[in-house]
Amino acid sequence: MSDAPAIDQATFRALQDTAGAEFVAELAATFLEDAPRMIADLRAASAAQDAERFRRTAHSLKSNGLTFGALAFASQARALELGGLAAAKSGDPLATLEAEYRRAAAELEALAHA
Amino acid sequence: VLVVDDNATNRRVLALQTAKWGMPSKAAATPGEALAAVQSGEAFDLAILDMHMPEMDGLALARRLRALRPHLPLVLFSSLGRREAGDTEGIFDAALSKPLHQSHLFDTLTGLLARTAPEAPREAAAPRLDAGMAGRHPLRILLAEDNAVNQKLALRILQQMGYRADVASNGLEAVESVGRQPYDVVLMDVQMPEMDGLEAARRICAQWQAARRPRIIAMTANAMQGDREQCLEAGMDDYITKPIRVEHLVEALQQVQAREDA
Repeated sequence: MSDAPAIDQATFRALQDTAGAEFVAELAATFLEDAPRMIADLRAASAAQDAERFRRTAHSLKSNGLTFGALAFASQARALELGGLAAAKSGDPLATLEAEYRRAAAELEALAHA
Repeated sequence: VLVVDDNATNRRVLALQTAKWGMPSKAAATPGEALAAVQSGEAFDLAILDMHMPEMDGLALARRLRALRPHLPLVLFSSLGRREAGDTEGIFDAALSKPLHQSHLFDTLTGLLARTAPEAPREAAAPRLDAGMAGRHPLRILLAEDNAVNQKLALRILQQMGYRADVASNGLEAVESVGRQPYDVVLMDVQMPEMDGLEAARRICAQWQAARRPRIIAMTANAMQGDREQCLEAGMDDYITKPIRVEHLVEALQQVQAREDA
């Protein structure tokens, strides 16, 4: 993890310009509501050795991360998507994902209501 | 530009100067006033803070502003200039010294604004959505997408072009919907539970002849080599990547012919 912003400004601004700041605040709220459940899903899929669900959930998180410009979070999700269940075996990449999520969530919340 | 200085002359000089370069400014006489402006949601591309102010000094104000706007470029304005900026924990992006030199101010501002350039030409970066597109090019659209964020965003973008779309949240539902009523186009997410977009496309293509089925546009966040080929092999007609870029979506929709059979 680094000190770099968790949310890429240019991406976030472009999203606001495209969809409207008010809508983006709502969209961010949807993400903040869904993501913890999806991360829990990822853990459950890993525990159940459900490779398909693991990959799909990681993919979804990556996709949402990219939408908001949460680049570090998205790249961690992408690593899980590409690595599949095997990726979850070494170290605790899910904990890293969670940490990146917390960082992204905090910034997203601030940006969405700025 | 947000200008915070307890000295009215300094405020006036900075306001006049930045106005000359086409940068509207907001002057705040106290840190409290500045914080209130930022908290109220006013947007600033840059802030110039005087170091020595009663109530709260420039450094303390900078910390408060940072907490509110992590990426707002902050410029320290002080009689000691950069020397004083040395022990400000790098919170300032630049320093200006008094008396103010016009060229130094200009270089500092343009330097900082260029660094945050992706934000500056905002209008150019995000193409305007054409609200009249659906009127000129009406389409019956099915959006097959399971992820709530992606679903909402796609609907929003379509809505801004005047389109409404039906939603299917997995491949099975998509195939069923296509069987139930005529669509001109399906925006098909590839990764979905129950049945993925590839399988759904295969089934749609197997069940209906090309002229009697909607055009299928794959939407995928993979962008991996071979990804596009996979979608086309499954029978999809076009392919765009996620996050959706408006110009790509518009281009893909323009290729869709409204069906005459229904």
